[in-house]
Amino acid sequence: MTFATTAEVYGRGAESTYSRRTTPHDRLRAFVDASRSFARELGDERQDGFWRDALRSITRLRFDLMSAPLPLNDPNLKVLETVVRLRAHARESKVHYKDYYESYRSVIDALAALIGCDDDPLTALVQEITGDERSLRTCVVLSSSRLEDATRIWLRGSKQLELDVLTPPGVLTRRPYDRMILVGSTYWYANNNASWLLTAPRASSIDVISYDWVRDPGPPQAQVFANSVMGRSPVRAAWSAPAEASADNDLLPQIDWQAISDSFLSRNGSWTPAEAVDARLLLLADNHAAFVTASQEAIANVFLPGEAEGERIGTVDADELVPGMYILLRSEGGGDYIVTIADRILADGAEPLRKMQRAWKSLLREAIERDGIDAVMSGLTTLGSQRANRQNVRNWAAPRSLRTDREEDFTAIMRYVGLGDAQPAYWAAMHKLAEAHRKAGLYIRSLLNAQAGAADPAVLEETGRLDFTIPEQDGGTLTAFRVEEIAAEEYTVPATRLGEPFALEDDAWHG
Amino acid sequence: MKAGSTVTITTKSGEAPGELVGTVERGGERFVVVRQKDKTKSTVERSFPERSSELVQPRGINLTCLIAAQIDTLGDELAEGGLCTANDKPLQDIVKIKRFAAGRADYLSEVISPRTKLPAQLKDARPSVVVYDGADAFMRWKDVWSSATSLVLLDRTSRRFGDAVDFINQQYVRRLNEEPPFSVADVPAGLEVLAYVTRSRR
Repeated sequence: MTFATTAEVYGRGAESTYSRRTTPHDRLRAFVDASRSFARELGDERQDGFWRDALRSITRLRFDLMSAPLPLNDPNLKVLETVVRLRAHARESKVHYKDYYESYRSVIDALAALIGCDDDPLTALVQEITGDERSLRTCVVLSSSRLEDATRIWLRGSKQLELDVLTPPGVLTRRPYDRMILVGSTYWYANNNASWLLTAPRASSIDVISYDWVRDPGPPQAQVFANSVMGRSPVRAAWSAPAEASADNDLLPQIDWQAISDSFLSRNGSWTPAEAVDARLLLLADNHAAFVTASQEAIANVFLPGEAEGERIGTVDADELVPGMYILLRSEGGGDYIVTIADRILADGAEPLRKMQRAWKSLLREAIERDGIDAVMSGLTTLGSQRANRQNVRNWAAPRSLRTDREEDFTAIMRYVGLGDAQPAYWAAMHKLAEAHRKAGLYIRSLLNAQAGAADPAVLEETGRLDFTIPEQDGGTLTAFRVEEIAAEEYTVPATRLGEPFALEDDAWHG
Repeated sequence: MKAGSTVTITTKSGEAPGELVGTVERGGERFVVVRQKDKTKSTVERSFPERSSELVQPRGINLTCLIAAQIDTLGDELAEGGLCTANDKPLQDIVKIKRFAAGRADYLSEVISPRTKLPAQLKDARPSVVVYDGADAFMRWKDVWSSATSLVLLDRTSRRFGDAVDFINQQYVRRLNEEPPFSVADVPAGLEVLAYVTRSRR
């Protein structure tokens, strides 16, 4: 953030006020209450495969209906489609889960009552706030990007309101506003790493609008350090409901990491344990996800929008990836672009070296298949390896890695797989490959850096992705995706699928 | 200096790198013990009287200030006239950051990105003050220059803001019972300021 932007933000923050407005809607509330009650009734059965997808759909739609100023019959909300799908599912439940059938039906009936309902209470609140005043720069902020375009088209196109529709990352790319309208509970924003909207406000007035059953704990406390000295904080004015101690966790869709993982891996057939590696699962911008290696020895290629021109493509240790960073992944062209370029650099020398790479890895994978990974770890340690833990051994066996960081680990592997005498030749060969990979990385970096200079930071911040075309035969497309979240747990995936971004199916994983 | 620190040892034959082993007392005099490679690449230990401390110096460049920040924004503001002194000179005229000094030798400061690996020229650097611009920069480099006076600027929009706050709150709990050498007052609206002295700074 520049000094000038900072000054303007704090200038606004000094005079900011918050207020809250709510609106009732009986039919929507009936659906919300029925669905929450049904989820409670299901209890642990919620995790059952039969109910999981249906509940995810209900939770997602419930949140959509409450989180965007759109008519309740807006086609983007897909109320009708959801009702049709749930009714078919309910017929099955009548056979297998008879005890829950009536409650389930009441949820679907409550939802069906919204079909064709063109009420639009949240837009009415937006209009009430903006009134006829057109000179104030105003933005409506949504907690999720899912309905951002639909809302923009509705408010700006159909309702002729002169305002911006943004999600929190988009707010950061704009000058501070005169007026900001946050849709939903302040808790939704705090839960989404955007409590700064309220603690460092970028508008002179902030109106929080929601349905009247949405509980709201109010803006979070601005002070984060004990015994610090505070300047004046924004003022909470006209908070129409008392600040409530707790918010409605169950209303907020949670990321279902397992569903993301299952949906990807189910498309990728079977694989042997020897092909498996430990991976971190990243949720990316633009509704994508990817697995990346969890190996401590691996690096990740990243796009660094804040760096000087010519230095915007860099690397970080894979375990240093955090949400907010941009990871570079090959989105078109398939395979590993570094390998393609490295082989071109090595020309005729590539194939013998690759053959050696495949040979020792194949033997190591066979050993893992034959002896089990625990026995291999133990055997390598006995032979002098210092870092033969499960994660590293899997990474060493993976086709993409070239060699170990330390020679004693490599020597132990060579001896374990019966190539002890050939260790020097293999170590030298892998060194040559590593050198070619390094040169390929530098070459790709120079190509990408040339394109990175032209990137529009505002577009990047709003879309969370930037495509780079590699002007080479088989070059394909690399995409810098913003990392939105990282799963706390690690997953086991086939090594060949690492670094492959995949599109998520209509947020079905978000339940 | 801690044992294990890299040092520059000055002898009649010139300067050479070494590693600090510690200090010993012999015959009523204290000696600094260092380890270095001789001509045959064997490791040898040598002692220097502590009174001749100039012979054993910490290795690395001295800096008035090191700024850990995103480089393009900083360059625009410091060197391109985004921020100026009262007499309309770029702030770079005061801060004198090597990266923006166009080859001039009279630099005082340097800048480092939160995303880079530690550049060779900053290994063992000894800045008097480190300015961390943002949580990313602070979390990336806080352990490298922990003995320098630190000025940490946190922006609530950063994804790592919470991590940085947690770290500072933990460090604050372990602070020394000393007043910082300045007082904090008249904090502008929307800002929060905390100052304390830690053991590593002493």
